[in-house]
Amino acid sequence: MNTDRLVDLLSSNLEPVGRVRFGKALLLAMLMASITAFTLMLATVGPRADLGSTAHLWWTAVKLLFAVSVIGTAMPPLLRSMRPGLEKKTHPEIIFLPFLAAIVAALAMLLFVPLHAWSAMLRGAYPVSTARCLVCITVFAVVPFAALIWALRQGAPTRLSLSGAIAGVAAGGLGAAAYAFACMSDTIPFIAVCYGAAIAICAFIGAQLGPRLLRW
Amino acid sequence: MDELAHSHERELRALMTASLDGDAAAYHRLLERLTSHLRAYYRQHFARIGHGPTEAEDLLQEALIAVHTHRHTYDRSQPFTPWVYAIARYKFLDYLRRTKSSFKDLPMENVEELTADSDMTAVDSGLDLQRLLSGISSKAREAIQYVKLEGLSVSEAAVRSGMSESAVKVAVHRGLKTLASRIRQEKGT
Repeated sequence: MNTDRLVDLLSSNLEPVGRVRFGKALLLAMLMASITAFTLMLATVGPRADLGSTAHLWWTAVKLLFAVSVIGTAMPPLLRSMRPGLEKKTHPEIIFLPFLAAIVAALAMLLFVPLHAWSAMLRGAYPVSTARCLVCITVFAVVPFAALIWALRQGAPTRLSLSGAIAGVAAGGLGAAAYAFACMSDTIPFIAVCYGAAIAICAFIGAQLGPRLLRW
Repeated sequence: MDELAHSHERELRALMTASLDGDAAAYHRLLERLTSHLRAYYRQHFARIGHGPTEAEDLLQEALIAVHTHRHTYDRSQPFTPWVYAIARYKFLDYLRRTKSSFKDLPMENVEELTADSDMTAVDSGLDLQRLLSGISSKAREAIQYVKLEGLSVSEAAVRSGMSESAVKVAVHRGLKTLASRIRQEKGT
């Protein structure tokens, strides 16, 4: 086909386009994803039995704070990645901040305890805690990831691996938020290492799937 | 972007804003302007990878369609030129990824069809191709030489090489696969 002919074709019967708010699509995806992830947590591992006590509620709040700050830092670059041309104005590096803060806090905590207590702090409440945490967060993140990919596909991301990775981080953050209610391991080093690793796995998988799922 | 001066940006942005409001004449003018800008952009990039203006024109049309179907992703408060070039660049990178894999996944039936398309490539990058060809099996080299470079039909190549027609097809197919992976390796380093 002749290019001039294509130009005629595209510009005939032109429909006006209103202002699109991609933030809405992202928020909707996050809302649906939160509900699904939370329901999945209730249906599988369930919330910890002693959630009612003040001390444990406080620890759940700490875990939630970490998860929510991960989601919070992932959202702006995700939103910007939906519009071409903003690549240079986007700073996805900020998503490292919550992880960095968690690691610094974890190191500070470890400094206050003797060396032989370190492994207990890192291992969590039970021998299976690490595996349970990694598996649960990753599994809870599957539906949120799909929802975010759906939202991203309404825009036009140009760096597919990066967008996939950030979507993975946000989905992992949601998975972590849901798992926070079930997690029994109340130490900062455990949160930093285990939650951090689980979200990193989600980011890695997202980066692998991005180019396949987001192509346009 | 260097390619477009600030006055171009102002004009194009005004045309785009009018287009989004449904002004078909403005949109037609905008696409005409984009056609010439992007044609230059793609010709330049394609010359660099040894592809001809025909492929550049194909991708230009693809990019124009992408601009059209994704025009809702343009934010009126942002400059227009970076938006267009981000799309053009994305389509170019996508083309690179895609053409590599289409070499690899080329079905046997399409082996003959590729001959006409790859003529330009053969002329432009003949020297490199000969060097790459020297690395693959003699059977495949012979088959590719006859079918791809000299433009013989598969039956003619079969007669000349003494292979069966299906053996020529297989040799071309495997040879191109090897060649594609060699090119990928070279570009990777």
